[in-house]
Amino acid sequence: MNKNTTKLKSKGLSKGWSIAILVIFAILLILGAVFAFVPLENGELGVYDYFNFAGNIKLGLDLKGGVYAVFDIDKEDFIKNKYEGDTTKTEEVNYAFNSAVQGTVSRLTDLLTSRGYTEAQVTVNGTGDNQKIRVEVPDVEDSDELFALIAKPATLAMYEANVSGNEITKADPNAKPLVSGADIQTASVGMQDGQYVIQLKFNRNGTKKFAEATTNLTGKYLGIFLDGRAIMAPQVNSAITNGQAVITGDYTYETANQYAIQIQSGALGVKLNMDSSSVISATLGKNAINHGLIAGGVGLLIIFVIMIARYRMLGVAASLSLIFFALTYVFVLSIFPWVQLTLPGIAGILLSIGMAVDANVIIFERTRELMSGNNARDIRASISQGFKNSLSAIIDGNVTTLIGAIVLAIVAISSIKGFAITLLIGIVISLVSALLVCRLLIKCFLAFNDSSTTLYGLNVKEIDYTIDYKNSAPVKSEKAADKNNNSDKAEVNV
Amino acid sequence: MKKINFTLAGKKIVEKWKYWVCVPLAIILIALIAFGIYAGVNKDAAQGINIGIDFAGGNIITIQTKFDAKANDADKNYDSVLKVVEEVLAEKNAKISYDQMAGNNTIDVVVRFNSLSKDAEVNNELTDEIVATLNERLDENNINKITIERNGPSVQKELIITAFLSVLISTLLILGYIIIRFRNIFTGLSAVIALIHDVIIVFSLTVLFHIQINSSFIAAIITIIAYSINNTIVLFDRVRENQNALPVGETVNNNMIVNKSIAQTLSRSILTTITTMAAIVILAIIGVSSIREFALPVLFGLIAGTFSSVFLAPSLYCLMKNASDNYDKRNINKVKKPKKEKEKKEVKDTAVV
Repeated sequence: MNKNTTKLKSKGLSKGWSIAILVIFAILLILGAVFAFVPLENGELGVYDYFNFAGNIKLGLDLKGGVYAVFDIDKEDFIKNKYEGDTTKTEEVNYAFNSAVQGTVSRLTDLLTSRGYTEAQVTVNGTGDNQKIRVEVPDVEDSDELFALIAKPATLAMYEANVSGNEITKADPNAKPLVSGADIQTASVGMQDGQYVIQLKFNRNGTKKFAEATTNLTGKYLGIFLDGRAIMAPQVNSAITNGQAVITGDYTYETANQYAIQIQSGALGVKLNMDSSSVISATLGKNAINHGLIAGGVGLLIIFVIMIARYRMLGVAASLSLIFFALTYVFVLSIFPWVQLTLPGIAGILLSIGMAVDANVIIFERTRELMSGNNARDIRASISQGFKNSLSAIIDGNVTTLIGAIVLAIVAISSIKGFAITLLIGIVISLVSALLVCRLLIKCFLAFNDSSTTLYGLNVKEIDYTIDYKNSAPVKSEKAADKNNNSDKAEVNV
Repeated sequence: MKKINFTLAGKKIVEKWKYWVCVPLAIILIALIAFGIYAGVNKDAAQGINIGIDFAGGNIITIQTKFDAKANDADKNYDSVLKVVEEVLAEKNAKISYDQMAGNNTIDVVVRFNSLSKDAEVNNELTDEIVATLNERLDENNINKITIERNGPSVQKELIITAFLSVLISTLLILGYIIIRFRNIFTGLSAVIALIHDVIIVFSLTVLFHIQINSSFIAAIITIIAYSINNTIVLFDRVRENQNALPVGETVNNNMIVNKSIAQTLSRSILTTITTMAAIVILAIIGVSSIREFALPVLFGLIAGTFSSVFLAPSLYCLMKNASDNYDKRNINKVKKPKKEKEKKEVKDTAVV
């Protein structure tokens, strides 16, 4: 193959620059690997302990296990509240109780998800009168506190109130609440004017009730009571129909969060008493995470071997940028707070590695094509043209995957959401690594020896992939063999 | 030594669309037969598909032992108890889904397995028997308490509904994107049909091999949808490029261009399939059964995706494109007779399109 190296040399990087870039890249990779996987404790770093960032990634129940608690459901309390202790209507009560339990499961799931326990699992144990609720959350620091708060619900109620000075009283002591805890969809912590507040979001029924109440009470005071204790009584300026309310007060984040959790557990519909709680290991077994690491490591090795065997120095560049990709990916996953890795997440990472290298495969295959045939170009021209020609395929392919990931991240609930975000991050980093990092490395490599067939020969097969539309044999032979397709035949005639 | 080259250069691919369509149909048919056999053997239609406890619910045994959780032989003690549980459950034909070590100071062995009967009472009788057998076989000096309870499904209906919904929305958006980017409705349609094909094949193979369907299956399906479209896009990108490279005013046989594009992208398709599969294959080999439940469907999907992007999607594209071109031509011929002027204009229009 003809190579016109001298002519194009001026376009490339100088040797000095290449060495500098390669050395910096190597140092970055080594540092990255060390920071990722080696914990430095006992002041090895100097002042404080440093924990490897790969170890900081939050892991789900399936990989690391967590904590579980079993709650008894207080059926007597349920009958007392809803049926005033009437135990005669057994069937009706049982039906209502069962649906209350189901409602509790989904509300508890909401509660946990809104608190960041996206991988939490809530299930019902037992049947009939012996139903219990089993809650499992991944290993977290404040799980004991969380379970305690769930078992200590607070009842929220809103009444028309009279306000005199700091004193808040119900306007009518015997009035039924205008809005109650059961009308609340979620309670969360928010910020308003630099203060922590409790944000309430009503469900459909609650939105209607709250709109009615605020319409009727315009100009009057709406008292908000938690467990019968008055918290605040804002004056109603206008009807609120969007189903949202904010409780202000002198809250810290912790107290606001505690109230929010308690208000939300008050909306559960049944009273829960903690029966037992304990730590629990990974559902996928003790070695789940090791299996993921082994699979990733071996998978990477296989990819390196294939890439280097087929693409020589280009394969080396792709392999190095793949290591860059893997380290960056792990780093980003460890700093994003809402990423909680589960088995599908790990598989997503493994697949992203494969996909990251896919962009390189597309480019290098293109390069091979450009180096073959009658109009063969030299390595530099082929690579730069290869990158250019492959760009639209890589962009379109990744954008479609991005669309899928974004929709999943917005529409789907908790666990799938985490997976979608993992995917999203992976795509973005893989594009950077395949299109920018890999290209830079190739440029550096080419500065040293771009005429070597051993390094850049790419083992080109002499297959002519080009389509000659004018006067080539393939068109004619295709045409001849295509007699059954009359309509198209006419058009091929050039 | 003769080198084996994977190449489809000069081969006719899209012309043989009947074969390519037969492959997935055959797989679906075999899966249906397998479904019938599984259902028939168990005399229960629901048994045709191996629905796991995440969806169907099951039982959960908790064995509170007296073993010290912090002792060095904790794992060994756990395994010894687990082994007995596995034996007892195997005698009852129960399938273990997960086993977990629990407990704060002493070891608890938590095992989840499928429901033994639809009838709650029958199930409870059987699980009581299991507890009795376990009490017999386990050394009572080491055991505090054995409890067994029915455990409801951990996957909420909403999860399935939102997962389905989001997949539907993203598929439609992807379809829209492809149609806009490729300025060709047939490209989008065949890519999305290929995508649906991949999902159906994954489901069929999962039924065929009676792999347990748990919540990770949803993730596997979503993974496939996210990745499989990529292959098809790469191919159609090449088709688009080859079409754009045509000299102005020339048109060429659709089949020829697509066949050529398949040949051009084949080595990339094979390589990418290998690189994406490498890690997942290892995971399927070394992982425990619940990991395999996830890895195998993903593998099926990757293979189905490669097949559909090389053979199915391009064939469908050519079928539709040829049919539409023929239709256009026939319409032009019809117009030809009454008015010559108008005909010329229309020919120009179609050439631009």
